[in-house]
Amino acid sequence: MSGLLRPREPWPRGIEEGLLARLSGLDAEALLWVSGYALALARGGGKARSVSSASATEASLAVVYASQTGQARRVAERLARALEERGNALRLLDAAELNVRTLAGLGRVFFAVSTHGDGDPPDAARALFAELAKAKRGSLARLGFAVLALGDSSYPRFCAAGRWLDQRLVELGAERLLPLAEADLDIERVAAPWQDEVLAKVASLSQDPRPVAAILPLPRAVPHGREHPLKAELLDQRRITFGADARDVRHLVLGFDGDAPPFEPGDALGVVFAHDDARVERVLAAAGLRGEERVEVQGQNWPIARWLAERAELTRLSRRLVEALAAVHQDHELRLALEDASAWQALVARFQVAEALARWPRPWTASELSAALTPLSPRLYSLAGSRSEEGEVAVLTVGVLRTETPAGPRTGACSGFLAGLREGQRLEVFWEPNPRFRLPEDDRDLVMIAAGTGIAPFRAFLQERIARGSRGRHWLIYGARRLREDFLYQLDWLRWRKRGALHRLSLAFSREPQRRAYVQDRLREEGSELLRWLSEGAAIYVCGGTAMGQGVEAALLRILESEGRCSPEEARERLLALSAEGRYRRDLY
Amino acid sequence: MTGEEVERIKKDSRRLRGTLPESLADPASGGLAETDTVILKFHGSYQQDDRDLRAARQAAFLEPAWQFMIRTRTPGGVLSPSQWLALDRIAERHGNGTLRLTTRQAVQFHGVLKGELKPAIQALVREAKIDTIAACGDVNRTISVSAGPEASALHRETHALAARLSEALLPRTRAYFEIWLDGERLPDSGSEEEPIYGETYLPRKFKIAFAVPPRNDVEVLAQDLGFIACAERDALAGFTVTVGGGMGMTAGDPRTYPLLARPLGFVRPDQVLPLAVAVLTVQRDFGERGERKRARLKYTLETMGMERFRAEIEARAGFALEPVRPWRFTTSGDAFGWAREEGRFSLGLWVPAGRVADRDGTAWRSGLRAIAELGVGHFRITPNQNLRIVGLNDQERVAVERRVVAFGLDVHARLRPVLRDALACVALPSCPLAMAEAERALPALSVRIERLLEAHGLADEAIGFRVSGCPNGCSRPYLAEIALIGRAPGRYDLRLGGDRRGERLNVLAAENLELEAIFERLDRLFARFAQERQPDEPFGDFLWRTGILAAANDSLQGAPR
Repeated sequence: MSGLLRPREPWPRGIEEGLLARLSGLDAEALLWVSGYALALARGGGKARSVSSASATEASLAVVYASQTGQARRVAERLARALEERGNALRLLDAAELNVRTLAGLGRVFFAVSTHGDGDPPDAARALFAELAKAKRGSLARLGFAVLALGDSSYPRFCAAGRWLDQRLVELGAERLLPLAEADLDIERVAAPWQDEVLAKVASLSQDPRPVAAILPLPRAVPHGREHPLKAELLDQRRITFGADARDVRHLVLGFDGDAPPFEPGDALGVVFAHDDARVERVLAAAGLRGEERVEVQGQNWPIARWLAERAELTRLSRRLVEALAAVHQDHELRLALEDASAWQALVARFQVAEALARWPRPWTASELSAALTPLSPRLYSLAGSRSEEGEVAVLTVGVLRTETPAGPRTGACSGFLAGLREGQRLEVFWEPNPRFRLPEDDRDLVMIAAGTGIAPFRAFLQERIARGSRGRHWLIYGARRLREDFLYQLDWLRWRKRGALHRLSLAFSREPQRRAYVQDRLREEGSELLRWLSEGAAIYVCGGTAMGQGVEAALLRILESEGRCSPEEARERLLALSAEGRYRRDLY
Repeated sequence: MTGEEVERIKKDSRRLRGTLPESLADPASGGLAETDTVILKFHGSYQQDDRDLRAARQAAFLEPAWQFMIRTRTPGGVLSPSQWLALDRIAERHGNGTLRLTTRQAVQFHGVLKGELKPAIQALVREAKIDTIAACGDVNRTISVSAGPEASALHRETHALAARLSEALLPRTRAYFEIWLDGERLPDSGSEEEPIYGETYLPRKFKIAFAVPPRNDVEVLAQDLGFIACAERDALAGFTVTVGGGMGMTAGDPRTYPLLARPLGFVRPDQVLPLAVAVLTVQRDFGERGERKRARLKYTLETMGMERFRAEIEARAGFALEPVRPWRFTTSGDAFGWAREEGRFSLGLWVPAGRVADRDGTAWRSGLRAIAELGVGHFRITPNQNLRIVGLNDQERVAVERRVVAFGLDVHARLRPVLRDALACVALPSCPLAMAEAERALPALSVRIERLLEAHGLADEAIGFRVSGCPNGCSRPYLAEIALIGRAPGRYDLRLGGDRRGERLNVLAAENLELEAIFERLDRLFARFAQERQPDEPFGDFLWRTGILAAANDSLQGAPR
């Protein structure tokens, strides 16, 4: 142990001979337990407390997260810490670790549940949700719970997973301790008060909180997440697609001051960005504001123009904004969008903030406008390279969103920002761990299914597997538009195939004149081979857009049904089982 | 790839099949497995890439923009109008919309994508009745035949003989039919005997040409095997046989050099086939197989010596060669404009660097298509990358002429001779060997030379000018009076002193120069030429007579040696 890590005096005499000597020989789990205990002690002021066997299954309190991008996990971690600081014993759990039986034994549970895709729960929670859907009434009769649902109001089925869970738990006999809380992209607006409510509720429920040390997840050695942005420098940026009408995809290499954060293949990098002046100008013009008007947001005072540029979501409409517009305009389209999911989707596709403000004009004050907009969320990009191959840099694959609309050309807020950066320019990023989408611990075979820029994490996977000397086989099933234009990292994949690191390569091109196909088509054609790989233990990873993920899942179910000769119900069970085993993992956006 | 590697690939190819079907079906690449690129040549196609894009694609993690060149096997370059129309359609449907006429009288399609290869070859065979077998590769290539308007009775017979010889020297493998034409795989198709070629075919490409004096447009002395037609009382008596010519060399390797063919003897028409088979099999058995750049017949002949070579040929052919008969060539260029052949009209049309395209305001492709649509006469590609339309009666002549004028194809009459007679290989962007521009730069380079000539009062001087993108010599630059041979972008070797009859090699005058330096030198030479030339003396002859070039060059001057 390095002297630098020692706390200042008084350093208990004999601690090396006594306590520390006993640590040797403990396994990792035991060591973690000890650390968690010590941490709780430290937070409790260092006073020794009686330790009820902190085997956490006995804890009457649990915080459970069902997280896709890490948001729900972060909210849950913070709540757990707050509860623990108030002396509560608790378990912090990933929904992936739970089934109905273990859930029933948890006592009081506070959920943070995100929704993604078309109202789906996070992949990690799919098995639990499926089991809950089939569970018998009354099976959770002894459970008390509250749900914080996270969502994005620009998607049609806002907070659907959390809403469903909240409803379903009551149906199964559980007691709702707090009303469902629904948080939009500006999570804090709802999450912070909810946490206070939970703390108050827990305090009122446990008149005699036992002073018990809890096992907390160890804080990470390196800070991560959006609260811990890192300075980075753009070292390389180049377009990696060809052809006039091919999508503009960029390969970006970011360097750090010193080592890169300890990310792993599968993790993502968040990019902190600001809107370009033109976009802000359009919003200001449409709202009839000059820009220097000041707004007070979360205790900070800003000129509205700077707040819009740095803090506001301007490419995706928020419900609050549409409500504010509908309040003034008796407009059918606005009203319909607020009521109907597909109308909402159509509205969001057609209008960004500036365009909506211009289409339905009304007088705005700066504070009205800031209240109607959601905060800007940093965009996440999967790492496209592994440290073992690329060194201490982050490699990102960024599709630059550009669409022509009746209102003119549109560029993605963050991808446009990145595409406009030049080498040598600096930016802020943060490390976003994605433990659900990392490589398996072992050497098992991988089936990697991707479309478009979804190929990025798989490039990192293969680099890492090759560096590790893995004996597992690799099968890439990839969809792009045209062979000559946007088969991303083609040279890498061909090289790996040639040297035997990539064992099977199935491609679907959706715009080749003769043979238009999507990955789902390839899956169907090669279904029996896929089953063979699965029977030999392969893990399936899917990365790409939500619609592609749904198409792939439908195709997988059909394969399990027809090739595996089982009922749709059994196929679903089989897929859930694979998911629970960590052999079916998805990263969809 | 080393010679041994290529030999192994040929040997393991199961009679030129390789893994071509698998390579063609692989969706992950627009190219073929490397071994299949060797095999593909025997089927008449080269894998190439758009070199203008190569570096940028590599930086984008994308493979080169693989594309294919398809070359027809068209002995003597003779095509019917309906064949021309089919070729025109295929270029549009499967290629880059242009046709390229070559110095071997073939038609090349460029920019064919992998997925279009099979449809294109099928269309060629089925619609144009033209195949591409052995148009490239280590086999006998398309046989050239003089296309000139003179001695047309001899031409007809010679062409027929060349076509028969071309058939006879085809590889026997069924691979072509299996792979491209969905031909049934024969039970014994893995073991088709190749009586002429054997299982590793020839060590290197092999070129045969038939020249009909006085026009040496095929440049017969640049060929591995040449036949110079000899007439007796206006009938074809036979051919003087020449062996061991070849253009290619490797820059910086003194063991490689262009050579003129040497006369071997005289054969009657019915002896052409056995003689050709004898030469081919001698080259098959004695040619160098370890080092491809030393594998052409010219080196085999040097190694064996003429006497041993002739004895081996006579033993294999089963007859003694008669003594060489003299010949006389007057030009290696083309005739332009209207001429009469066998009581019919023929028209020589200039095609810029052999590229049949509608570009930069010209209409070669649509003009020639319009002429073909008349359905009259025949098309004949010349060894100078031009075109003759032959066999027209008076009425047809008028119809053709009308379209020639309407589409502006009569520019040959207005061209200065340097550009009109200039030759260039394809080079950048598609040729993988090219080190510098050739075809694309030819018009500008020619005009530059014409300006220099003009400045010295030599505006209408005909000087043979050729550009090659690399030292391999596809445009036969080693026979030109002035030749530029690409060494690097914008840099060329300057060679001087060929004649205009295809009978004298030029010599290296300056190595690896920038263009401006080359033009400076030419300017000084033209100044002297204008001052010191004798009446009608060609530029190349002038350079030798005045000692500007050291007189250490082989020269046949049309006389047997």
